[in-house]
Amino acid sequence: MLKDTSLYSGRFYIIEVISYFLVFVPWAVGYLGAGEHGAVAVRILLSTAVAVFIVVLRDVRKKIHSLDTLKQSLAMATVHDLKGPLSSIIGVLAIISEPDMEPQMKEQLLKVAVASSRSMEKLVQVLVDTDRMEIAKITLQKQNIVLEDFLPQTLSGFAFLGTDRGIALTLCVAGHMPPIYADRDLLQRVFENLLLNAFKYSDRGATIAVKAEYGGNKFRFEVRDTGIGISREDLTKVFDKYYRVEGGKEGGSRKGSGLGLYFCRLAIEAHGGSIAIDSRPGQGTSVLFEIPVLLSGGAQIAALLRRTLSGAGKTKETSI
Amino acid sequence: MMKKILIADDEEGIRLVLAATLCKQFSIVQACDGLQALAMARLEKPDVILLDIAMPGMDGLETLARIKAEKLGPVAIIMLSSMDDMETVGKALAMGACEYITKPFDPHKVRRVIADKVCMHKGGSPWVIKR
Repeated sequence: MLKDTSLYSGRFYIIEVISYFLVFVPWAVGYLGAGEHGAVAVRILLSTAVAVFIVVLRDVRKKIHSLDTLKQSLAMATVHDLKGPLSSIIGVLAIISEPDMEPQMKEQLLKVAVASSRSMEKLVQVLVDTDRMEIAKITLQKQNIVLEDFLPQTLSGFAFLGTDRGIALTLCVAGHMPPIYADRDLLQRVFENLLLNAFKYSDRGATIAVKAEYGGNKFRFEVRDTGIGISREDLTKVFDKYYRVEGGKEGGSRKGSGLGLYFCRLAIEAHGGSIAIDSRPGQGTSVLFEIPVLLSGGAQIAALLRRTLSGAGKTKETSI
Repeated sequence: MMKKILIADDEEGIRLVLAATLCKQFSIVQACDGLQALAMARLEKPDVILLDIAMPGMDGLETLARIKAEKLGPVAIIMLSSMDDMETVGKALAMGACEYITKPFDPHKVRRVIADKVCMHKGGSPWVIKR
């Protein structure tokens, strides 16, 4: 992602400096040469052309430069975000083997080290993912995914967070869904990102509900929480790159990379779908996304037939 | 009596590591943002404050300025931040922080710095804060 643009910027700078001299070339040629009067107009024309060229070049160089600064400040922010958990890990390793450390404290410290490693891994993963999706326009590794199995599996990874923080996590799958033909890895990470956000901005006693339904050749998913919500002005920008909403829960979990929802958008759009968010401060947030049916060698058709023959299935609701 | 240290950092993991590092020698109080740190500084009258800079709401530098402005008695403020540019370090020291430790930090160094700033006289008489 942090592709080096300073090189291009540098080249443009050299061309710009050279062009400053080119402005005078037509006049110099005039002095050295015959100095015909008719040539004056040509000289003016040539000089103006070079001047216009310089102005355009300066503009391009400025743009590249500001992109450079943005990327630099992003790199700084990322480094800063990595240093926090890294400090915890180094700190834990430095003191955990001290002879007078109580076993209870040791256990707590180890938990900190594990959680910190995880948060570093998540940050690195999301950086790599967005990079992969932006630059290479990755080819999706699509496969048929049975949502009735996939969703409980994905959510079960968050069960401990729910118990730990006193937040209820529920899953509701509208019965007999056809399998979805999608990139399993990406879909899983979309859910992980959305759930992490929901937990990040929810307090004890809140509820996080995940819903999946199918209709009109589209899969619709919703991750709804009853957390602190997002202000109206932030709502329009949350899917932008590097945008962070201020004022989440206290503690390290509050800090995000500013890439989570941006990644979700890229991943869903890569599947031909769309993602939207709705929120009210103090009441909660709901992220909705749709993925259209992508036919996959008959598996979905067969499932649809089964679904039609057996009648609409029962909605299955589970508490994770 | 044990001397008191206020740990102000928005990351729970860091607070726990610091508390584990120092709890044998000091009594520990914690704050997770600048405003809380200021309130704790007034209430608990700590001898040393370990202060992070990038915190939500009121940041560490502003907290430092407010604590200094309120003249809360002899307190050694040690900055503990991942910001390592000379500008921030210089600013913090000029504002009255007595030491600046960058993250990732070595807990043993934190112990050494604190021991250096807070020296006990022989016979357990009151501690003197070195400036």
